[in-house]
Amino acid sequence: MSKNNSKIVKSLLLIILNFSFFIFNSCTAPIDIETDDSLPVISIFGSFTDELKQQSVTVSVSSPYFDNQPNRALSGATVEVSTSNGDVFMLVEDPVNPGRYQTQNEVAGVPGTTYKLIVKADINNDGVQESYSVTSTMPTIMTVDSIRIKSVSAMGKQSYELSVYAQDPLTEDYYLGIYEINGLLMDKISKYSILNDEMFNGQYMNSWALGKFGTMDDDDDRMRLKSGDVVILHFSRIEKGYYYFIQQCRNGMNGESPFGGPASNIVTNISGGGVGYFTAYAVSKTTAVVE
Amino acid sequence: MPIAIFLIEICCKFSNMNIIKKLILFLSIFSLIQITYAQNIPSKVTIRGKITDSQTGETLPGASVLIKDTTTGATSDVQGNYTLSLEKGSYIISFAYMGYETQEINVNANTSQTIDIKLNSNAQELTEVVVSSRKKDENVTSTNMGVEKMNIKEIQLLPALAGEVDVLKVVQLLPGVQATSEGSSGFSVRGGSPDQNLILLDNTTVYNASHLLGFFSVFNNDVISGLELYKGDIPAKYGGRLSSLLSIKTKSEMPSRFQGTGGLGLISSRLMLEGPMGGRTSWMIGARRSYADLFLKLSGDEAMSSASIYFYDMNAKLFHRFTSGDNLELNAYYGKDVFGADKVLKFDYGNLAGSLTWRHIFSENLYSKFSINVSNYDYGTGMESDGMSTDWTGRIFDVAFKFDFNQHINRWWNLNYGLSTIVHRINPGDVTMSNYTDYKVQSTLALENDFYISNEQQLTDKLSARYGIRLSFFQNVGETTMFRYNNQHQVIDSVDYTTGHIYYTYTEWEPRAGLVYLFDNQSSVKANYARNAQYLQLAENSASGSPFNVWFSASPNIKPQTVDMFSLGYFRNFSDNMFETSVEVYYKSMHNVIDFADHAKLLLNPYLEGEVRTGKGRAYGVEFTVKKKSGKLTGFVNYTLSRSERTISEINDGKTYLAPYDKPHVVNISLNYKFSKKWNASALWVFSTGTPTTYPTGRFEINGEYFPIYSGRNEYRKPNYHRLDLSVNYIPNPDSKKRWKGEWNFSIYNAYARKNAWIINYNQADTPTPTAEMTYLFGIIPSITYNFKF
Repeated sequence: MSKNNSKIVKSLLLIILNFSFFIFNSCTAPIDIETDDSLPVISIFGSFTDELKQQSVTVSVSSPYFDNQPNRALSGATVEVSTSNGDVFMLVEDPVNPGRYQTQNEVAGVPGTTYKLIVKADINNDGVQESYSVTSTMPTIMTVDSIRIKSVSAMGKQSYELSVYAQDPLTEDYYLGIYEINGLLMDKISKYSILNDEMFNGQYMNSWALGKFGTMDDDDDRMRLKSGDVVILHFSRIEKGYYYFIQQCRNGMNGESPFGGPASNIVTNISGGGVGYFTAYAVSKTTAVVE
Repeated sequence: MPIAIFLIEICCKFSNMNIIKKLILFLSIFSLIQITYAQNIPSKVTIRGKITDSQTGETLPGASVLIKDTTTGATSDVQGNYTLSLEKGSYIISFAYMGYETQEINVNANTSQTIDIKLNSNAQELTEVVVSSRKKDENVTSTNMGVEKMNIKEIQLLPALAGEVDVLKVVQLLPGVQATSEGSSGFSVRGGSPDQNLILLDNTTVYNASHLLGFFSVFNNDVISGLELYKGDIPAKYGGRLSSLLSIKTKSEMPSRFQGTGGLGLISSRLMLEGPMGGRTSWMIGARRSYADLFLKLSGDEAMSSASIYFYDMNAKLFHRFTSGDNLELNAYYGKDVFGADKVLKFDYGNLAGSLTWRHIFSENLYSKFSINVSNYDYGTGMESDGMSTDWTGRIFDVAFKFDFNQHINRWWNLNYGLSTIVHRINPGDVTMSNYTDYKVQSTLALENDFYISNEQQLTDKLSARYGIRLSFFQNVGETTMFRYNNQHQVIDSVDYTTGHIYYTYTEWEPRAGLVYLFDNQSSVKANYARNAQYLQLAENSASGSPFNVWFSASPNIKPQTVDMFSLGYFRNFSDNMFETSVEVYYKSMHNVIDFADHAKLLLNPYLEGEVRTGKGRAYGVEFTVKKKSGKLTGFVNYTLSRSERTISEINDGKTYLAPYDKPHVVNISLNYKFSKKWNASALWVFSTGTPTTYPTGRFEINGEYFPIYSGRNEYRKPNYHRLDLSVNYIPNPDSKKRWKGEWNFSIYNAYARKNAWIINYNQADTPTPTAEMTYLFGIIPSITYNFKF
């Protein structure tokens, strides 16, 4: 049942704060913030997994934080993935989704293989392409014995909890869970679950609570479930750096937290001044039906 | 085992007494030279007399004789005789003795005279050997600077949140002090961080002084007598923190009969009872309990009504006088905050602070105090669901032994010396989970030892000096596994040390000195230098602070923090000290100052030391104060102009950045007007520049969500903070002869409903691209409180 402990602290303190808010009439209000605009940089996000599919990488350009236009997709880049086995894949831009580059054929990565991504694009419009690169070695697969989704009730509120049964090995491990609900992959970073084995290294994860979901009655931005929904957990062992990338993205996307540290840049693995992340991982899929 | 270690330490320190003796001898030679100065002052008169028990006629040695509101004074000798040497003038002299009612007399000291004093016993005067109260013109004449003192009466005149004046909120109004965040009890003194303040309750460390996450503090107004804040120039007796000493004492004067005070408020209620027990013993007990959560039960919101959130605290004091030269005092505080959500989640935290103090008078000019102080802070949280449970606890536990001596050699020599040793035991975090192995971050054990000597002397009739030195040494003690780190702060290997093994020692010399030059008895100029060292710090990098306090100590990997502070001030009083004004400038240079890596993991981290980054800090500023101390209208205006910055090579790319508490302009105005015996009203207005913050300058997008890009730390500021609070006190029957006296307090917090930005968030759930929104903590908060005494 235990969650990541920093999450516990945060949720706990936020509950306490909610009470204080209740007592003291606290509220939120819009505020105008003037900031300097940072120069546009390249943003690269993508993965290479062991699933047989068109592996893809998305390339876009950063924008001023409060710009009211969506970020610009970066078309016309040269995107290439080469492997430690000597394979080279040229990723071509999807005509339907500008900025999305994918392998021409369906390919599956192999654990233990190192993948090197090279993106060439002219970001600063000086007529010369800049080059950005990153390498990632695919960790071994992590199998899950089973998952369970059960209804829990706390403080008068109904919600669903997804828990995992799996054997954690003695190594230092970082895990990622992505949910596919009724055939739809919840691919926003805020919907990912991440986990490290610090608290249970080498032990059996006996109903370890990984994700929480709301019910159809909720109006918050949680993922919602109802009885009979089919949930597939895509569970992967990931690189430590990717674990922290996701953690930092999730902590940073809403701005300040009263109990968080000072705002800091999200650590990327893209060299050459870009932002984002490219990583390789193997996916195990486990299905459960909501009770 | 720890006991054995500190016994050894104490023995070691006693052997160092020789050094102290040598120092005294050395200082005494100086004093001989000074006496000649003293004898050449013609405008002095001498007041002398004998102090006795009014009933038995027993002489009272060691009684304190003080010019009211000053630290100038004397103590009676073994025959009960006292001698005061004063400038010609009129004074109020106060005579105090433990277990006796304090007596005040008006003296027209134009000629030398003899005044014998008979004190009435009440067995309850719990004052220290040397009573420190305030002199009318102390701010001008005292060798201390950067000191703020307030008694409980002054504190209670201020308007407050929920009608409950809070000591720490009052501290935040003092010049040079800044609140770290609204609603928090954390404060920054002259650009330092909140964990650089030593908070003492009756000389015992309080590690977390907050209730309800900081909306209130652990100090109950009914039991405390006042506060003293030393903003950097800390008396040599105290140390271990860089920025300040906040000393809060519980009531030391108790009347002769059983009596009490109390209050009923919207948030909490309190009661204090005290009384004598035989002729030589007295007691006091006070308690508070909040019940705001009872309102939650009335709430229609089920989430709210199933929650509990409350705090309680208790203070107790027992005093016994064995003889006129020996007494024993026991002080205890215990408090807890409890939060719970529907049996699923619970969380509590609290402090214990207790001390046993024995005061002994060796001779007419040598007084001593020996105390054992115990301090504990712990927190615990538990979750329970489906029969599986998780518990997480952490704590810091101290035992301190302190020996203090006060030796009065002659009128110009007043020595303070002593030594202390503190054993610190820290459990950063232990987690137990059903079905899983326990997870424990290893505990640490350390010894913090010091000895000090200081003297206060008058060099000429215009020039006085106070100087002293504190030698502190900090020792890491096994059993432990000490990790070693490389330049990238990654663990490379570890070394094991056995139980009781002292594996590392730091030594710091901390000289402190001050000079005051009196132009006349209304104005003076002061200069000051202080060096302080700090060995324990809090693993905390959030603005609001959390009760998950993890303290960590200096070690082979973490050097102690030190500061050199220089200050200069001009002090001037007007209209017979009715107005006090001052200007103080300070400059602080901090070394090995601590901050944390970006995205540091501070909780449950066995490699916490790998998250620490150290560098330099610099703070400077000027503080202006105007106070009106008497009349129908009283109050103060404080203005502070300051700067605080840090330069740490691995933070903000090595560029200097503003400390999170840097608020260049701070104005605090407090006014109280007494309309009649029945009515008085107060107003408080506070203004400060917005705190430094980091706003995103760019964003990148992944799968339809936006993530921030920052250009540097603390480059922007939040909107300015300001607020007006009002309160009215109504005493229905001020002249009532009845024992029961009641009083109503009506207050409005944030009277003009200023929406002060507390935190700033980016909303991207309701808009296609992110927009900023702020959370403000307080709307207009009216409240009503009924206070009573009997």
